[in-house]
Amino acid sequence: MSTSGRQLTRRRALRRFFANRMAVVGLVVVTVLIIVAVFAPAFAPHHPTDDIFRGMRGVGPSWEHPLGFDHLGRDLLSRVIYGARIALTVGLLSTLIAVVIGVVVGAVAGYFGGWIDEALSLLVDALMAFPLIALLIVLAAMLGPSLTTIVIVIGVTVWARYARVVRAEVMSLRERDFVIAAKALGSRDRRIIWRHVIPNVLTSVIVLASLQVGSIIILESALSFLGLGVRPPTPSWGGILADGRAFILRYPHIALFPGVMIVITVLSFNFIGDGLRDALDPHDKR
Amino acid sequence: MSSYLTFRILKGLLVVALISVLTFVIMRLMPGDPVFMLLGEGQIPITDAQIEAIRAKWGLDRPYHEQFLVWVVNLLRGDFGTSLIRTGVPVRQMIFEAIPVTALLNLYALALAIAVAVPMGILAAARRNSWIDYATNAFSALGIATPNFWLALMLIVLFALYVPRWFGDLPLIGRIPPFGLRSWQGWILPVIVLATEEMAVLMRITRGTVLELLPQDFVRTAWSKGLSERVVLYRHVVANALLPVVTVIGFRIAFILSGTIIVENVFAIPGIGRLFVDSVMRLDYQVVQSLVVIFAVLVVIVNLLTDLVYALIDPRIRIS
Repeated sequence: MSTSGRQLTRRRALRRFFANRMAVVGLVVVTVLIIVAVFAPAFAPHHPTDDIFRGMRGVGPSWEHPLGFDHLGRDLLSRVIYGARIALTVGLLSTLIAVVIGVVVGAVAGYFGGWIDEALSLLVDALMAFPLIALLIVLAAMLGPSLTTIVIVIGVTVWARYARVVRAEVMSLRERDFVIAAKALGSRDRRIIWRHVIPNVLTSVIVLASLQVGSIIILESALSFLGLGVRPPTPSWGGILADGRAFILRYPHIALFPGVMIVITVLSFNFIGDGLRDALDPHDKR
Repeated sequence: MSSYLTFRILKGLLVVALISVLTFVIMRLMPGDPVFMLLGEGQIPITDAQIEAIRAKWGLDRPYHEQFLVWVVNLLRGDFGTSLIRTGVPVRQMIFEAIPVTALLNLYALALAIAVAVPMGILAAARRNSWIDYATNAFSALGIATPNFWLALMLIVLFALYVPRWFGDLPLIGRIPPFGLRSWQGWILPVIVLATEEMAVLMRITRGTVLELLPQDFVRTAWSKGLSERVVLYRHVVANALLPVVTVIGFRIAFILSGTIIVENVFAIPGIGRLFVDSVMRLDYQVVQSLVVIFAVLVVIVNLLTDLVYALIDPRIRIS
């Protein structure tokens, strides 16, 4: 029994990925994070918003409360754990939205060319010509801070990068034999795009996506930091950082931990992304 | 060559135009009313007629497309309008006051980043798997993963709280203020924070570029000619590596501006970034629109120049 070419590539890629130590570490960390986030009530020792400890405002770490308390007397460990929910939700959902929009736009632009390409490329260029944070700030201020806003706003601004990559790949794929053959057989454009073109660009998209999740998490925390993200008292890492900032010289520990969590999370996603890229690299002979 | 140039310029203009329209639409869609915000949202008893009069004065009652046209025409004349919140103050003045601060900040940060990242990237590539290589990779990975506002806060805590506590009043390090630019020491932390982000990216790019160049034939030829490592490295490899690095720097201008926005907020620096955020929050239309257009024009110009430099220097592109 023979295995298809695609299965072989997949197996080889998996092997290469798991041989990469940092990538595996990243994967483990992310998995743990996802589990903790999903089952937050089981992991968090206290309620993140309702359990207020009188007289413990701004008290630092201790054995029972490893991360200490925030400025209102809430347990920071629980808040940080629940904050992971927001970070991961936004990171993954926004990426999904951005990928969908970006792949569609990029594929259409790259495949059809002509004025469609010109128009879409103009839109992509306009989007990328802009400091992302600025655009996010304006949009978030306009729509009002909330989780939904953040997910949509980030997804709708970040897709440009995927579109560019997909467009370039589709344009090179367009000339390949199997596409020309499909056309000669009379397949409709939509079918060609869906069945032939898009599966081949998915590799690059997946690599790009995993490398981008980290920056999306940072963007979300930046918006929450400015007060444009998830509304308090819902805990998000950026929001806790904002609290920490207000009391930075009095209770410095508040700002420490959410930042560390962000660094760890982003690093892990970056390692995964790097690992995927190296594993799926067609030029690597291993 | 010149037709390519004209084409790119036209495209750039279109991009700026598109961004202007989009910003205009977005600003008008924002909830809230600047007139109300200015008047303290109902604190001062004021009649409807007076509100209408204020609106008419600023032309806010005209139909939207008319407002847009008026704005564009003024823009082309260099008139950015007057601020709605700081009444009567011309936007141009507000922007011109804020630009030098941001520009200097970014310049210093960029200089610092290049000075540190490029040599380290080159060395890391030249001595693979040495401690320099590991340090560079580690720093680069950490730098990319660290949110700059958190780094800013940590540095503030370190230098405003712990350094004085542990070391007393040191002449240089002990006197760094947590925010504000009143003294020259106030610049140190913001510049470091801005530079770190850039450093991380530049290190990676430089190292990658040099690594790509090292196995190539022209390097081997230079080696076999008996040239010392220093000459081979600097004369041949680095010269070729600088081109992609310079272009990356050019394309990162947009990112650097983003970084400034948050850093200025944390350090209370009176630059463009803080002006932008404050104006968005206060619905100061004119300021936000003008800033957006300026950002866009700046980025388009820099991208264009970078493309041009690349095309001019790389003989392969020039000839084709």
